[in-house]
Amino acid sequence: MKYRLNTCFFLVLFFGMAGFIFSQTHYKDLKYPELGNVEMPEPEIVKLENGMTVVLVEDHEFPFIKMRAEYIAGAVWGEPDDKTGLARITGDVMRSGGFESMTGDEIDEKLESLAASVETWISDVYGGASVNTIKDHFDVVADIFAGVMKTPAFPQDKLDLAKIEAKSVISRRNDDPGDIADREFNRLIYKNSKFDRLEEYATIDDISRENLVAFHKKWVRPNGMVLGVWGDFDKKVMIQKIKDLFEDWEPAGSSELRKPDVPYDWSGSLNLIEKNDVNQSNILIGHLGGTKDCPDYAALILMNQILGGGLSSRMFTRIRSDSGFAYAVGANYGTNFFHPGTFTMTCLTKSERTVAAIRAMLREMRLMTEQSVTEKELKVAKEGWLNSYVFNFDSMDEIVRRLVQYSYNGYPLDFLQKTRAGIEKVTKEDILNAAKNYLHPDKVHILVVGKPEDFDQPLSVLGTVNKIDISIPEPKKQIQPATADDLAQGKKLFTEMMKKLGGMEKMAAVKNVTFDFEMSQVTPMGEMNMDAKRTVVYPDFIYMEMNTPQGDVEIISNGEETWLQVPQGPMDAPEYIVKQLKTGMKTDLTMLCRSFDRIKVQYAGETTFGEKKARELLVTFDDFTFSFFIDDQNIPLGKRFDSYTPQGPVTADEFWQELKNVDGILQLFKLETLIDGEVASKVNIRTIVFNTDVDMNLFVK
Amino acid sequence: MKNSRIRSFLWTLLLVFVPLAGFTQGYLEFEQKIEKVTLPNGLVVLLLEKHEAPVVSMVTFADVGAANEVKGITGIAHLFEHMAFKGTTTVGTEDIKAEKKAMEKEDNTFNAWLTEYRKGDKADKEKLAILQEEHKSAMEKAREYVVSNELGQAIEIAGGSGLNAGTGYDLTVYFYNLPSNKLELWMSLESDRFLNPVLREFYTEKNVVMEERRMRVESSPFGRLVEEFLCIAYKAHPYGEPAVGHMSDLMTITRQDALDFFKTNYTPQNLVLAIVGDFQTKNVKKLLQTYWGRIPAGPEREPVDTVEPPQLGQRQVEVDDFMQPIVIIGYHRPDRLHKDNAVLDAISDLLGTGRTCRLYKSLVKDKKIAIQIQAVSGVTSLKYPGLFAFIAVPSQGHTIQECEDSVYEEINRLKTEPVPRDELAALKTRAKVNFLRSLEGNQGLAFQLATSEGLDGDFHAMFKQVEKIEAITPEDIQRVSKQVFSRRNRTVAKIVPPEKEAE
Repeated sequence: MKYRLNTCFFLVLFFGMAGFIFSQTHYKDLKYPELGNVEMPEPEIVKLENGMTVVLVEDHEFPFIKMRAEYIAGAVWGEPDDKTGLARITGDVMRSGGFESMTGDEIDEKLESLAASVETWISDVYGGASVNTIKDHFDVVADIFAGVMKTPAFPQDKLDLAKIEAKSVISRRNDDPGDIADREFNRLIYKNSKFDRLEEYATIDDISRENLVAFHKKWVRPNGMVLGVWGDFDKKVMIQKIKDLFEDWEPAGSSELRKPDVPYDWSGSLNLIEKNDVNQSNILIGHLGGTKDCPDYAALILMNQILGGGLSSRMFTRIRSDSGFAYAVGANYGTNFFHPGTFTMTCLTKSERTVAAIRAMLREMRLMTEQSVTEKELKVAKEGWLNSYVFNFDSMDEIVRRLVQYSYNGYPLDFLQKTRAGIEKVTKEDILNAAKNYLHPDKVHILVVGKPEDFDQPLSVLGTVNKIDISIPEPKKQIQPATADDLAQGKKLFTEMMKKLGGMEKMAAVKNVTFDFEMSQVTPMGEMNMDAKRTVVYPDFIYMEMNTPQGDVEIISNGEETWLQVPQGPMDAPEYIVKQLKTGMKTDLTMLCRSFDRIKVQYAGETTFGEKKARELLVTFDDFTFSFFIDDQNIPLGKRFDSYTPQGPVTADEFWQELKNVDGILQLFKLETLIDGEVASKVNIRTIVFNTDVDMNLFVK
Repeated sequence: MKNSRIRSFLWTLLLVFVPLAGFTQGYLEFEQKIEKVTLPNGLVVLLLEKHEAPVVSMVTFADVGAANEVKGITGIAHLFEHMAFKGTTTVGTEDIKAEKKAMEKEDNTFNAWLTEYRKGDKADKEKLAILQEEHKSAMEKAREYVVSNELGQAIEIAGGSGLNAGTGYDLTVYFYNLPSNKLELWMSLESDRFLNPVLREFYTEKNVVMEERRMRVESSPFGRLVEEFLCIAYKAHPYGEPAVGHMSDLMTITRQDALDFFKTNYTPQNLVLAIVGDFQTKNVKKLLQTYWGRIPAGPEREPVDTVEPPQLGQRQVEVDDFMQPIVIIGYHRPDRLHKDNAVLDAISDLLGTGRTCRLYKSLVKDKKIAIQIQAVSGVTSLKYPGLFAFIAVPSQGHTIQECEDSVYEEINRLKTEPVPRDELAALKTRAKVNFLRSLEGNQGLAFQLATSEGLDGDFHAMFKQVEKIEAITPEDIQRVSKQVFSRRNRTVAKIVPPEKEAE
């Protein structure tokens, strides 16, 4: 013992001498001087008579002037569901469309030539604007800013451009697995609220210029707006300038902040989105998060930091550094000012490790709620937060942006300082309590975007899997509003058509039907011929047997489930087949006759179908609308309907080429289907038999 | 329509008289405040005091990247960057001696596995499995000595922010910010990082990097397209290899490979440091000598000799993907030190940046055939001759062909018509103001200084770039356009939905 002490002493001495020459210090032995003072600029706050609040900070380091505004407007309040996208597009076209004395294109030219920017936007819960210019051009740029805020022109051509962009973005939204995962996870969390909505072709189509004008009039106003202005100016002069720009803007409506409604039922789910061109799964796990004004905000910040916030977090250390499971991994306990954010754990891992990774993530989450964090973990998280506090004050952009946000959302301007005081007090027990109260590992939504056939285990080992269909709904047909006459005429013509075919009663009396046919189909690989048999037992059961060059396959649907029977056993049918079968039933004549009271038939006027003159009948059966075309003798020529192929949704034209009598009913024996004007398939039916004895065991999985 | 054109012309006329003289003064003063220190071992350090807030940003630039790799070990520059977070002989370990022994065992078991694995089909499957198990248990043994993420944790607890690193073809950068009283922490940790690195948890981190590759390339449609684009644009130069590495290379790279790569490339002559923020230059110079002066100079490494030969004709590649189309069009161009570098930057601004650039006006605003169009003057950081590229995202219902045709049309206009004075004047204004804007944040500034010093050989180059753009004439733009944008010099990569094959 003594000997050891001596050695120790010697060593210290030795290193001490070396230090005299080099004096490099191991980081653990470093002593730091006091940190210099953080100089917090004193903002000047001015309230205009119209209710607009202006926050000003002088900053003379660079010759720039910047502005940022936030105001009460948002998609979740101001936007009807069937016009989802209206708020966002209004915010966009305010700027791109210009105002009375300058077109949007002129603004573009002007700003680009001055290297300045003016941007406007409207998000889910607030409207915003930003300005950035060198000070010499402030007056010109500020005029543009005031113009697009107060009197935007909303020209039709810029609305059209915004719609083209919106629809193109919709068409691309299923391309990137990360985008899909983020979007659909958000929808799982907010599924019962307005935050769940997506822009669709139909909602974009429904937005008119009048809608934009009305939305702007109602929501973009000075009362409740907070405008931050900072940079290289004199406060007094600037206040006068802002008054000159905005004081004539009349207030409108209420300036009370609204709290978005977010109903949440705290149930969990396990969800899969199949994406077969990836070798890595995007896994998101979580549930509803919180708001910043919650009493445990500080404890939640540190809890999240320890669970999955930084480089020293448990998730990063265990799931990434120690086990190499992932590159991207972490957690975020999301908080908003007014409505609850989302608690999300993320992990991207190779397909073959999907289930193992989910288990590892859940284990970390559960552990947070079961055991106290260690003293060391608390120290790293807490000291880290407190020591990096100074970075909240190293950029004036950040400082003013924060002040604007606090002011707009009605938070105290010293909210950050209060949070700091809270962080200082957080104990291990606080963190455990926060985890227990705010994390619910047994009620999580799990979402996996990936390629299930490569998973280490089927997802179903974790519970019942809900498959999410993300196919993009086609635009609504531009249907003329139906008059009572059109509807009466429609049903009459439909009945006439059915009479020609043998009568509604006879058709409705069919209990089951079996077709034996040959079919040739155009596929990316070339033409494919097959023999097939199809039995339909009304209203729900379908059985198909196909002899394809690749082998025999059976497709079976019992109304609840649809599956393929292959030599290896049953497997879930691809989404497009499920949809094809549904479409088939919705356009099936027997189904339509059986449900005659439920369907709506609108006469849509004269047109052509293929080369022939035709009359169009628009049939709506539940939520599905399609067209029948009949000639002047009321003989059907064919139908047009939305369907699905492995490549996505399409519109199909089915030409009826030969009708023959079977038991007193005229039946279709030859047809050809065209997609985009190209022949996609041809069918020749050999026999049709009604009401045979069908073995219902066929439909048991 | 006509009317609005006349008005916008008037607007732009005004611009020519925009006073910017005082402005240039602003950043010239800035330039004079930057101090350059060269240590005896060849290490260059750039210092800029800024005392607005008590914070400081540090960037370590290493003159090494994927272009320094050879076939078989692609991805190693990036892999080493990951390893540089794993600590040193005194950071990240419980017992360095015992750990080194355990690491040796790790390497031996991996090499034994690799030898068998390389037999391909003739490899003994059972033996492979056993060797893999042995390697696994050696890894577990080695992990017992590891203090996970000690480096990151030391920085986090000190209040460090923005800790990260990045690897490109020509550079690897490591950076973070600290409260200014803790600058010595960076001195200590960062110099140790490149003096005594220990590549611990090497085999686990390879898996992390493979996940990164899956995320950025294999499971990302755009990532797949970019990889294909680069690999057909180059047949000789290493710019054609993926910076993240091929999967099979990542699998077989050994720790010794990574160490060798480090020793060859991370000499102090190949490093540049930049420190921007609240510090006293005098004190910092002492610390630099103490901490960084101890790294011994190393031998000069061999340069990259491979030169990409001129293309013999247009190259094209299609990527079959069930997604909406995107196209990348690239042209070989000279390196960043070439006299026409500034002209190419100007062309990319003129054609493909902002709301008034020619391609946005033509493809997005007027013809409405694209929703996004961008010109990039350098796909890589251009230490060697690289690629000028256009990326077009067609709008719904429009084709890649339409976008390509319109891009070529605008390129042709650039070759045949001189750029109007006012358009060029606006471009020069933007270059100045945007340059000044880029000097606002400490970290961005430190990054620019280090990169310019490292790649251009002198940080003044980034300030001179503005002057070079100022001097550009319409003739320059015409001349360079003709030289670069020829069909023969072009590479086109596109995403094509498989269904189109039937046509």
